[in-house]
Amino acid sequence: MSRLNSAYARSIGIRVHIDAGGREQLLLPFDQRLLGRPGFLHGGAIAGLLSLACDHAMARDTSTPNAALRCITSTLQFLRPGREENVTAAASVQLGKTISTVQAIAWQDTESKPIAIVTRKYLMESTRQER
Amino acid sequence: VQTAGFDPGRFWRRFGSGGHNGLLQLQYVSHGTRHVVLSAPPLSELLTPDERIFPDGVLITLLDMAGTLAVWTRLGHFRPQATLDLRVDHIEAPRVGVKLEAYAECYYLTEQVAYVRGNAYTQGSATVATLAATYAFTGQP
Repeated sequence: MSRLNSAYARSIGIRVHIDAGGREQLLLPFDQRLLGRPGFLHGGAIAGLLSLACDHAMARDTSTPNAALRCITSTLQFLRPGREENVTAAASVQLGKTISTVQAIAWQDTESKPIAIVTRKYLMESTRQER
Repeated sequence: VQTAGFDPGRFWRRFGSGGHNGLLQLQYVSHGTRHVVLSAPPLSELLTPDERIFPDGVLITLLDMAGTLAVWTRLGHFRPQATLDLRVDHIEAPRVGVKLEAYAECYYLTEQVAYVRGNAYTQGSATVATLAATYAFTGQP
């Protein structure tokens, strides 16, 4: 099952959006329940959107079931405050033999003005050793 | 624990049920002079039975919020701040159906920036993730 259909993703209202260039993006529609300090989106909600964007892109590009993805690190940079508006996120995958790197950005106005950026590293399933 | 001017437990009783923290049902657990412990429920309402994955959005929100409260606790009062960056090492995927706790400690404080480290663990045992974070003050001291 896709993580986009997970109860968490549904609880924050994530939707898939295809942009004018046919590129898949995730949309997080604004909701009061995404707020942190008054007037601003919670960093954790933005982190949730970016994590899902990376997971979704990684699952798609590697044909890995979502449940089998193994993210090992997340590095998040917050660049601008998230206002009370929708957020869009797009991810790109750099496949590696043992580790893959996925980067995603989240923005409100335009893609060139991101509010947050994440880099997530994933262990490739073929090389994984279960403990 | 007595802290000079900021009581994270009281703060949480007043504001913790609002916004995103309320949606995820994060709870105050305890605090010291420069650390705070919060918990996330087993997420029965946020998960369907066939889901085995604890959402990273919940994990990171929990860590970020524990870090935020740890800064104010060490500072001794509320001061507006924004998260600058968060580094999360995912050591083990948390299982669904367990209660997750996060400990965050503000280990260094300057006029403008607060440095935090922390970790998330399942009750009484295994670490599932560690945190390194920085926060910048956005308002007056």
